[in-house]
Amino acid sequence: MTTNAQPKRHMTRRLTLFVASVATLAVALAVTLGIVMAATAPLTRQPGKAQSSSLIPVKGQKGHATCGEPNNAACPTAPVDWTPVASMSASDILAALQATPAFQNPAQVANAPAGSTYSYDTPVLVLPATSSNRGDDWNLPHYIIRASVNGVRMVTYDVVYNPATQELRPISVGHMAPNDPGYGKPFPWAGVSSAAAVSTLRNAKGLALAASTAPQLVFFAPGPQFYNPNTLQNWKGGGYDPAVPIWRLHGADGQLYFVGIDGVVYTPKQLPVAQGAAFVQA
Amino acid sequence: MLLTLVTFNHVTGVNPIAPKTAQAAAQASKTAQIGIVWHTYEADVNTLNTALNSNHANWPQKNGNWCGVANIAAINDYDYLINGIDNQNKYPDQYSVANMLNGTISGQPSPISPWGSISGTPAFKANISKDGGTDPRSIAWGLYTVTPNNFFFHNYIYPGSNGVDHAVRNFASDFGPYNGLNDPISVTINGGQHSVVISGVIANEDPSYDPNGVILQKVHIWDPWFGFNGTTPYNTTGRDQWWYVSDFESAQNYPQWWGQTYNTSNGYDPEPSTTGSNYYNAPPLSHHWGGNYITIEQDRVVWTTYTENIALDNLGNPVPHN
Repeated sequence: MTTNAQPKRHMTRRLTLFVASVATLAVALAVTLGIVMAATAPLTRQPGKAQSSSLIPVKGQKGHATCGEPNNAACPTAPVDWTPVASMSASDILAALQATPAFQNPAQVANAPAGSTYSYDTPVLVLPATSSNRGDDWNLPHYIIRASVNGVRMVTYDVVYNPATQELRPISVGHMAPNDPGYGKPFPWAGVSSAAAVSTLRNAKGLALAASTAPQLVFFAPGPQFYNPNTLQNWKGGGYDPAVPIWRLHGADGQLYFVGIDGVVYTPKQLPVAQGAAFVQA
Repeated sequence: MLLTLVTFNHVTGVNPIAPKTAQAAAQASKTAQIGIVWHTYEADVNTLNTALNSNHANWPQKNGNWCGVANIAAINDYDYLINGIDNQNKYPDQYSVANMLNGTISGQPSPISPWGSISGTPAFKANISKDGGTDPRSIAWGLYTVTPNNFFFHNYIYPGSNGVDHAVRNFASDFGPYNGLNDPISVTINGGQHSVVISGVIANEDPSYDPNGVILQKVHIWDPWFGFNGTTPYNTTGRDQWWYVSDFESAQNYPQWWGQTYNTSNGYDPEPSTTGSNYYNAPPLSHHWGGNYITIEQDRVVWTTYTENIALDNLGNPVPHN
C-alpha cells in the first residue's frame, strides 16, 4: 500500500499560492474601501478654518531659491531680447513679433481649445507724447497689435519699437474676458474717434487743427503718484499706457492739446505725467 | 527657420516631464535663446477663469481698496473648483470675503490677530497695520480661513537685499510638476498699493526643480483692478496678461510691478502697529514688510508648525520678529 502523503515541495508551493491569493484579495478590498471612503469622506473643519470641507490629499511642497542670498551666487537675470524688423510694414512687424523668444500665438494666449483659429489686425502705431527718465519703453513708439481667436477680438500685444536699431521687443500680451468692455472690439477700444477729437477741440477751444497736421495716438509717462489708489480712481482721461492712448492735436494757435478717452480736451499741464517729463511735439 | 521656431509645452502639474539642466541666464544672447524650448508652468487656467466669473469671485474688485479681497475670493474659488467641491464653498464672492475679514459672519473665526488689532478704525479688522486696504497678514489669514482643509497659506517676505530676481524665483518655484503646488498666489505690487494674482510662469525648465538656474521668461498676471471704475492702470490689455519678467522686475520702466519693494507709499501701506503684544512692531525692528518683496502663497507649513499669522522667509522659517 502506498502512502498518499504529498511531497514537501508541492505543499509549500500550494501554500504560497494560497497566501498570495489572500494577499491580492486583501489589497483589492483595501483599495475599493479607500475609494468608497474618499467618495463619502465626511466634512471636517480644521482649526482656524471657517467652514467644513472634504479632506484634500496633500500635494507637493513649496520650492525655494537661494541665489542672490549672502555667500551665494547672484541669480541669473531675466533676458531682454530685441528682434530685428525688416521694415515697418504690417507683415514684417508681425513676422518679427512671431520670431521673438517665447512667442505665444493668440490661441495660446486665450487658452483656446485645439483647432482654434486666429488672425491679426493691422498693427497700430502709438507715439510717446513725453520724453522722460521714466525708462526707454516710455520714450519709444509702440505698436499695439490686436488679434482675434475664432473670429472674436480678445488678445492684444504691446510691442515697443526702437527706430534707431530697427528692432522691436514685446512688453506683454493680454487676454480679455467676455465681460471686459473692450472684448470683441478693435484697437483702440476706448476713447473717441479721430474726427470726434478734432470736433471736440473746435467745440471746447474754438480751435482748428494746425495746417498740415493730423491727430496722433499717443501715450505719456505717468509719475509714480499716478498709481496711488486715490489718484487712479479720479483720473479718467487715459493716456498712461500705449494700450490706452489719447489723441494729440496741434492747435492752430501753436499749442498742443490732448483729447482723452473720456472725450475731454486737456492741456499738457493737466496730464498726470512724470516729474520732469517734457512734451514732444511730434 | 527651424532654429527660430519655438515650441510650447503647457504643463499644469499633472504630466511630469524630465527637467533639463538650466542654462546660465545672465546676459543671454539671441544665439543662446534660439533653440530653447519654452514651457508654461502654471495653475489650471480654465478653472481660474471660472473662479473669476460672475457667479464666483466676479472680478473686477468691487471697491478701490478690495484688491486683496478679490484675490482671496479668486484663489478660494479656484481651490474649491479644482477639487470638485465647489458646493461646499460658503465664501464664493468678494462680499462674503470682506465680511469675513471684518468678523461680521456668524460663527466665523475671529479676524483679530493674536497680537491684537490696531487703534482706530482699520480698513479691515484682520489687518495688523493701518493699511488703506488689506495688509499681507489679513490676506494670508483670509486665504487660510476660507479655503478647504489642507490648504495652508503664509505671507512670504523675500528680502529686498537679495534682489528682485531672488523673490521672483521663489514664487516661480511654486509652479511645475516636480515640486510645485501649482496654485495661484497673491503678489503685492506697486510698493504695497495693489495686489494681483499670479498663476504661473514661462520658463526653459521646471522652476520647482531648479529655481536657482531656471531661465524665467514671463509671468502670468491676473489683475483684479482691470476694468474697475473703467480704468486699467496695471494690466492694460486684459484681465489676464503675460508680462516679460525683465519688465515685471524693471525699476525704471515699470515700478508699478516689482520695480520697487514694499514701502509705506506715503502712508497707504504702513508697518504693523498692533495695540497688543509687539510681535512685529518697530522698535527694535526697523521694518517688517518695508524694503522687501511680499507675497501670500500656498504651502505645506501646517498650523501646528507656524500658523497663518506668522510670516515666513523663502526657507519657510519665521522672519525676524520681537
